[in-house]
Amino acid sequence: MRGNVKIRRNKDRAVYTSMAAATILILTVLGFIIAYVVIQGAPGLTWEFLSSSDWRVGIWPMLLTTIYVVIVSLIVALPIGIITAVYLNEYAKNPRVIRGLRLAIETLAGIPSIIYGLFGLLVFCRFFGFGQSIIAGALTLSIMILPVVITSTEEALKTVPMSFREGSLALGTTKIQTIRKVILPSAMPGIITAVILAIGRVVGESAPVLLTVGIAKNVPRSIMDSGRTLTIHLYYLTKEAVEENAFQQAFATATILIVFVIIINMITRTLSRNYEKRMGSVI
Amino acid sequence: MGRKQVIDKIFRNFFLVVSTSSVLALIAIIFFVFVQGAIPFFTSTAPSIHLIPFGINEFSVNSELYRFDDLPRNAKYVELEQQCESYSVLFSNNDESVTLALEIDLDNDVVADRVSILSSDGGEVDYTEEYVYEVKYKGTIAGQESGFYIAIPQTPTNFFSEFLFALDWRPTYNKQYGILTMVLATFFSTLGAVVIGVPMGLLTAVFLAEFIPKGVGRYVRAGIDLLAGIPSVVYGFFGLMMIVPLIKKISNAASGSGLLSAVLILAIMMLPTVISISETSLRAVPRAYREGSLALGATKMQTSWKVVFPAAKSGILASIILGTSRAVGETMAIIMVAGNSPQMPGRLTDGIRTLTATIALEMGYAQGRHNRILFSVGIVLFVMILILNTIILVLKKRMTEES
Amino acid sequence: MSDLEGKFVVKDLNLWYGDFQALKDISMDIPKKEVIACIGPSGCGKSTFLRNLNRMNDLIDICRWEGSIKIDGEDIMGDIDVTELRTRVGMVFQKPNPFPMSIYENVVYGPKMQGLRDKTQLAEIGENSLKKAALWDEVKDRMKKSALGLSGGQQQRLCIARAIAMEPEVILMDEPTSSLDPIATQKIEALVEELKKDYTIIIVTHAMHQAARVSDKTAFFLLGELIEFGETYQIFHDPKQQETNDYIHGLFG
Ligand SMILES: Nc1ncnc2c1ncn2[C@@H]1O[C@H](COP(=O)(O)OP(=O)(O)OP(=O)(O)O)[C@@H](O)[C@H]1O
Ligand SMILES: [Mg+2]
Repeated sequence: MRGNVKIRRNKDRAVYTSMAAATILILTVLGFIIAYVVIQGAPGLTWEFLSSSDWRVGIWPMLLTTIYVVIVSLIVALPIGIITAVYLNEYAKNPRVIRGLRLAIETLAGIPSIIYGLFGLLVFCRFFGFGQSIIAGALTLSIMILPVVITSTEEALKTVPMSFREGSLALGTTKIQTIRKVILPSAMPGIITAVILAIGRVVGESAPVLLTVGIAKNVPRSIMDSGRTLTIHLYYLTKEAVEENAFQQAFATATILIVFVIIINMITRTLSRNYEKRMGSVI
Repeated sequence: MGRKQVIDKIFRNFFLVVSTSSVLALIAIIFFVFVQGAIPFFTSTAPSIHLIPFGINEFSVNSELYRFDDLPRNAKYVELEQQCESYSVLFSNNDESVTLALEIDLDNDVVADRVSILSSDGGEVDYTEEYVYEVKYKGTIAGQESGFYIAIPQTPTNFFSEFLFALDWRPTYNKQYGILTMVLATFFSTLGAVVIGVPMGLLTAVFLAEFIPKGVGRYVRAGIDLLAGIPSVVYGFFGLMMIVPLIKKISNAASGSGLLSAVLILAIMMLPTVISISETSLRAVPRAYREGSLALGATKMQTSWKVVFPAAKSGILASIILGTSRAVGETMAIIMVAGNSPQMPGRLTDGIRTLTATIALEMGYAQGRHNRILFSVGIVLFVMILILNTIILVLKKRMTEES
Repeated sequence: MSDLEGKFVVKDLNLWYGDFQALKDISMDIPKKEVIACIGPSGCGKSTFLRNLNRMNDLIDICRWEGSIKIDGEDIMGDIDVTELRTRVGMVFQKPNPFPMSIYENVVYGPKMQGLRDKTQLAEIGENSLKKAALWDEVKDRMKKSALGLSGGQQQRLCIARAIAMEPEVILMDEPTSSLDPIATQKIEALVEELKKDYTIIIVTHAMHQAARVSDKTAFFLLGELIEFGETYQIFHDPKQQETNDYIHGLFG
């Protein structure tokens, strides 16, 4: 048995090396993608590029469209998502109801985004007559981010200690008062994380946006207008590449998206770390 | 019951009602997409033959007078009903009276023979598109032509022989809607991504869960999260600018866009899913397993792979399937690097077009049955995903039972 | 209502968690403006009993009970609203559980939830409650600071102040000092002594000397049954039941 030790150790070392190599390779790929895009894109990030309403020069229309889509979809998805999470975590007793809701939410989470696009096109663009517009896209995306909002809000609610609920109810408050005044405020950092994750999803999404919001390059006058989000703009810049500086612009647009993702990641990280620290003293 | 209790109850019910919206949304999605996508397989495109004038304002069909301007705005055509088998269409061209005589037999098996043009009075008859005749008359000025399109309704498409297992996708002119090549393209690109992405992902997951030095793990995990957050168009863009030219150079193919580029991009994109879910389930394995194995003199490496890894297998499998379903559903990144020609992929560098790409690329201009067929493509995709989802649900259930 | 009748009258209380019976045939008259200590080994049902008095057990799905509990002659399951019951019967928990808000917000939370909006009135209630809870001097300069920054003992007194702010008739305390150090414990005990002038206090405790020190009457629970209930002095010096004697002399638990 002892004789095996050396062989075993060599084998272990080989496996260890391959694991470390895989990890390093993945990180390298990540670093490379970011560096490759940002190095070529950063010089293009001028004030003119960000603020010009002329799509040949800048991306202001796309920024605006993206912001509109984010805001409208959050306005729709947040209340529904948070209420659903509260219901699931604070009220629901009937196991059949709970199971049904969870099944629906999990299935929604698994549906590929292009299917949401088909649905939105059919229902919001055609059936409701919104046509390709920001509102149609935002409504579509709001359903898509519902699972994200629900599950992360629920996670936040789960971290609120039972003693808060008991403490409040023992003071003769009603359940809804307890939820509004104690539970939701305590879960707020987690809910903010949910919101930020949802924003990230909406900004990064492309296929359903292409089908429902469209590709109009002008500054949208209202949410009933068609528009072009940053992601779709990036796609069309590379697809059509009519303007001379199309690729330069594409790199700059991709840089904006990457920087945005990095910021979102940093915020959620800090939030959840602070939250753990703070709640750690209570639980 | 006090007033407060009543208010509480009202809220409770209100919350319940709002909560059902996710269920309603799911039902609506399934219902609408499935109904829209099922139509081509059950109905004809129209109940009758359509006579669509162009450059003609006034004409009569079997002595009934029509004016183009009076036709309803979204239906600038005259329906020729089936009961009456022959029609004579009268109008004036260059001040000459012209008669177009038609005979209709909708039951004919040969599509072209469902309409026969008996006489056209000098009009030029064309059958350019399947299901559509064109009868053209010269005007006084060259290019100013007038005439009719005669659109024959398309009979229901056969789901298996004309859709799922048919090879040709020529939706605009030939009305052929075979999606087999796309199903295979989706299958092969996903398979390739799994073959590359899963081993790498699992190696990393085990490394992260069991071996990574303490201080480093946080940063690696942050990196993996970042990888998950990058939008798919950015991956597509990177693939287009970096991977595609590289493959072209190495392989000497005409273009680098194709199966291999798609596989590589998908593999990178599925990594975060595989890694983070596997890692979570590896961490959930009870310490006692590890200690038991270590106490028997196994090395840490053996313990990790022979004891911990099998103990977490449900979660690991779930992570793989979830990654797979992400790859199946991926759209924009694929469009940007895969070449998008609907053909059988023979070599790794051949262009492919996946199911998702077809929907996204053609929805912008697809009309009539073509448009609906894209929803049918959505159904196929949907069913694939539902199957994968069900497997995940079963695995999750098994996971909770195990622990 | 005569003063002779108890604040709480409990009759034939039986309580189950699912199939497990946690309280068996408890009958008890709890007098007004006295301190009642509940003692007994871990798991004997003290907390369960206490939580039933203000219906906190409603929160536990599998919990069901029968028998009758009356407060001032009124059935707690009757016309009285559960929120009203809880405003009349305050509760302090084993672990201090201030809400993650400012100290001030914590104290006036209850009155505010009852619809009191008047700022000066709220401030007054807050100050009085904190004074009664012997916390005012320590926190008066940091009322707007988070309550989570207080020490454990301060937090617990804040929770008592929070309960007092509702002007309850009864205060239930479930091992209020078990997570505190001796000095903080002493402060709370002194506070209980002070509060019994105005309130009926029912306190669960594991510390025998605490029960002996602060309470007027003591109830001894064992395996879900009320073994003995009487004057504290009598329970500790001349118990009628063998089990009580064994427990007090540390023979089990
Ligand atoms: N939520 C619950 N679900 C099921 N059983 C419970 C629950 N709460 C308490 N029990 C059971 O009821 C019995 C009495 O519990 P209780 O908490 O009242 O005891 P206790 O006397 O307060 O004990 P301790 O001194 O340890 O606090 C115990 O056996 C306990 O296991
Ligand atoms: Mg207890």
